[in-house]
Amino acid sequence: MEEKNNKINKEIKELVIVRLESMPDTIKISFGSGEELTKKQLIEHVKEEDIFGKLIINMQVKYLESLKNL
Amino acid sequence: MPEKFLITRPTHDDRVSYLDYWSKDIIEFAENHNIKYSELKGKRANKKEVTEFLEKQKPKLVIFNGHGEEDTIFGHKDEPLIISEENDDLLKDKVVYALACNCASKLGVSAVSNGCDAFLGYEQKFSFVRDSSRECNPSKDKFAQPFKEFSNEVSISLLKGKTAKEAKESSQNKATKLLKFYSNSDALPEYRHIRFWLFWDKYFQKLIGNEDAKFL
Repeated sequence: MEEKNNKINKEIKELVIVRLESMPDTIKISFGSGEELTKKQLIEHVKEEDIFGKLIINMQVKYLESLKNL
Repeated sequence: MPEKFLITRPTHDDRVSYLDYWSKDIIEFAENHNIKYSELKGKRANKKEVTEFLEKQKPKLVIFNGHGEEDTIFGHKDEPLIISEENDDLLKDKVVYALACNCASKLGVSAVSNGCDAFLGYEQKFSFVRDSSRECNPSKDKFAQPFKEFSNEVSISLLKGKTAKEAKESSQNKATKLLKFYSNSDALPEYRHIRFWLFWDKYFQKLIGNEDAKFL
């Protein structure tokens, strides 16, 4: 079961990275008081699975689930 | 005496300059409806002036624009204006909308426990998408527009006399409409990312305190 969950998590993580990779260079993300987040920085957070990276993954999952109710 | 509101408008970096630009619509609404207000703009968005105004003028509604942390709302050049358990009693009996990161998670809770009537804000970072080619010109940044509409819906709903709960619902409904609008077309690759970050702000927008609190 653990192996299955890990696989799912890995797939979700890869999905999130693919979605972030589609971010065009024409935009940047203003995010709080820090500098703007670039596509590269967002992807790094997700790859490293730091606190912010995990939050992005969780929110991407919630976002995709929410589309059912739009 | 008619109720008045206070709005802080720091402008010291490009991110808060966007929030300052967005505030123009709130001011315009107030002026068109003869609602009294005071604004502390630029370097006047400092702790001394904010404190004096809150103590002497006792506005029923306060709209903060600026950076934030869990326990702090900042003003000009990131001077702390309101700090959890330090001076959040300045918000006693007030309705507050803080367009500032994170501060609903701790400051909002402590402010309400110290007498703030209702606190609307964000328990995570407030995000918005910007057009890379419009760095110094928020008025021409079409990608930031939905975030302005979502946030301003809170303030303008409160100015219309809606309760804190209704103002939040109105903003949430605005977000849903915008999400649908930007979902209807993938004409621009940017839309997918506008949708996600708008969803982020919608998800983390919180109301703490008296849901029936009103400005008017």
